[in-house]
This record gives sequence, C-alpha cells and structure tokens, in this order.
Amino acid sequence: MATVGETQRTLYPYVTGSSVVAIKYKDGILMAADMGGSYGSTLRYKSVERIKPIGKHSLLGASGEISDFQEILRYLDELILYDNMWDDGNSLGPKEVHNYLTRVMYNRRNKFNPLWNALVLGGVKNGEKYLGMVNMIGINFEDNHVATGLGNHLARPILREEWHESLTFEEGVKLLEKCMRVLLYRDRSAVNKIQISKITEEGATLFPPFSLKTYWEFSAFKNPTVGAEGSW
Amino acid sequence: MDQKVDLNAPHSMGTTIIGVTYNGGVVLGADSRTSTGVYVANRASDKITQLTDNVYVCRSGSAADSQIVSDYVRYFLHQHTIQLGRPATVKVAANLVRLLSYNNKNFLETGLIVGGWDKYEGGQIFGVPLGGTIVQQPFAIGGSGSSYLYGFFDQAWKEGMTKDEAEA
Repeated sequence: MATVGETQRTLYPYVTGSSVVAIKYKDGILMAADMGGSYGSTLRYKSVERIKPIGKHSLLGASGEISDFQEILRYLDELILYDNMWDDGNSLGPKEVHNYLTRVMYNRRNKFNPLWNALVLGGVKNGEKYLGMVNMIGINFEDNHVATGLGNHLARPILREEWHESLTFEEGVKLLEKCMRVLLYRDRSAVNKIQISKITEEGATLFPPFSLKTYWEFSAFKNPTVGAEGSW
Repeated sequence: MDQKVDLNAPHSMGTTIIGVTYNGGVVLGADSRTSTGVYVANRASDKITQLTDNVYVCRSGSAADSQIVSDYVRYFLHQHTIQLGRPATVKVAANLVRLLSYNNKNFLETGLIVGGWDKYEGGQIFGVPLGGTIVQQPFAIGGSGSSYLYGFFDQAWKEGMTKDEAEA
C-alpha cells in the first residue's frame, strides 16, 4: 500500500472472486458465478456467495476483491433502506442501482482509491429487463449479455453466437452452464461449485450450488505408459 | 557470518492458527513462535487473545498490527457489552475486527480468526484475512504455516465432531 502524504492508494486486491456471467432471457435475468475466493494463486475459500439480491428488483454479482464487494453490499443496504423509508410505493429499480454503483465506482477511481471489483447488475421492473456492468475504473454499459474478467474473453463470444431474445429458462441455464464450463477449463482461478440465480418480475431466486460435469476422456490419457519404458 | 540479521525487520509471526467448530462450541489453536526475519524473537508467544468472556481471536501476520486491532476490538466490545446489557455475540465481535481491518487495509498486515460461543447461534468461527473480508466457516486456518494444512483439513474435517475429535 502506497501512502503519499495524506493520500491513500489501493494497490492490489487480496481475496478475489473470478468471473460472473449474466444474460437476459424471456422472463428476466439469469446470472452465474462460481463460489471460490482466491488468495493470490491459492483457492482459499470455497463457499463465497458472489451473487446477492438487492431490493425487490435487482441482483448484484461481483468479481474482484471480496472485502470491497461486502462493503458495496453495505452501501446498497443503506440505499435500499432509505428508499423503503419513503414508503411511497415506489422502489429502486435495476437501472437506478446500476447508476448509483457507477457513480460510486467512478468517484473512488478519481480519488485513486478504487473498489477493486467488476460488478454485474441485473433486474426486472415493470416488465422491463435491465442488465449492466460497471468495473473499478468506472467503465459501465448495458447489454443483453455481460461478463466480467476472463468471462469477457471466453464467455461472450459464445453468447454472441447463441443468445437470442426469447431464451426459455432451461435454454438460458444450459447456455450459462456452457459458458461456466469453458471458464472452468480455462480460468485458473475458477472452481467447480457454481451458483446460478434468476430474477424475474416476481422476485429473485438463488439456486443451490452445483458442480459441472467435465470431459477428460482424451485418447492420449488412455494407456499413457505405452511406449515409455519403466513408467507406471 | 554469511547472513545479515535485520533487527529492524517487522516482527512477523510465521504462524499457524486454527479455529474449529464442534457440536458444543469452538476449539482454537495456535503455535507460539514470533520471528523477526530469521531470528525467533519470542518462542513462547500467546497468539490466542481474549476479546470477551465468550469470544477469542487467533492472531497472525504482523504482531504489532494484530495486537493493536485486538486491543481496540476488546475496548469497543467492552463498551458495547455495557450498553447492550448482555454478552456480545460472536458476529458483532467479528464485524468489529472486520471494520478495523477493512478501513485500514492500506496500513495493516494481519489475518485473524475470531471464534466464540453465544446463546443465539452457538459456536461460530469467522475468518478475517488481509483486506478485511469476513467469511463465516465451520473451520478456519490461517498464517503462513497454514498452507500445509489445507489438504489435511479438506480430507479430515467433518461436521458434528466431539470436542476430543476437534482437538485431535
């Protein structure tokens, strides 16, 4: 951590989560993330929930520094609390929450003290689906499918090919599983304990964690000792 | 003499700390070595520190940082207990530790395991590693010596152990 006079700078994250992938589907938003918390290159925590419901209409998924994510959840708790205290029948929708997060992230970046996260914010309000992303330098955008970290490189090409407007729930889950499987194969910090959650007009549902089936039946692995004298 | 001894190196603990829940509460364990570079500054240190009657913390990382965090948390918890009128919960203790760790993450280098028992949730263990993440776990290990234990715990840990099994 560098301290220059009175200013502070966050230089590096400690406990980090890997990618989050999310898509719009027919009834709302589907979001998937694994449950690993890495400490450098070691996978230290294996039951970290990186997707949380926010208010009545939104889901927040985060990758990056987990302590900063926990702090963001506290900021949002306060935001939602104040919103509920108005008691006026209106509630913050995903677009508003995304905007709030964008302002928070960008202002922290301007002070050289970022919240070291890439956030995915999805939700449904009054039938309108919304899916956005904001990262630690304040870049934010809205799309039909978003991902963080390595997911941008590995998952989004799949989504660009296979996503369409009227995905059913089952098709959406299969598509997300396909993306998470690629991430599991190719992302060093991924762990095979996936949590999928959905949000629709009725509300948010976090499904219990499950693991993906992987393929390892390569012919090169069968009879690996053939031709190598003395190996077992 | 080939090696130079840096007497100004921070007193770091080179530690192994463990916290385990079992069916009656929690068991905490720690080694007793404090090193400054290669020299063992204290071979009988007590890395398990009391915060309240029912909550203790295992300290690792910088000795000074973990001691000062424990002292502040003990002070705050004492006031909180007086105000509340009943024993503080483990969750509150752990969150106080988290607040100090997170808000001063630029200055502190300490990983802590908070363990205790309260009548609402029973025995609980919370890990608060570098950076100020808080994570409730059925068992927690920490310190630089803990790397060797990940595999062991993954294999040997099970839910609902007795106190003797947990201590073993």
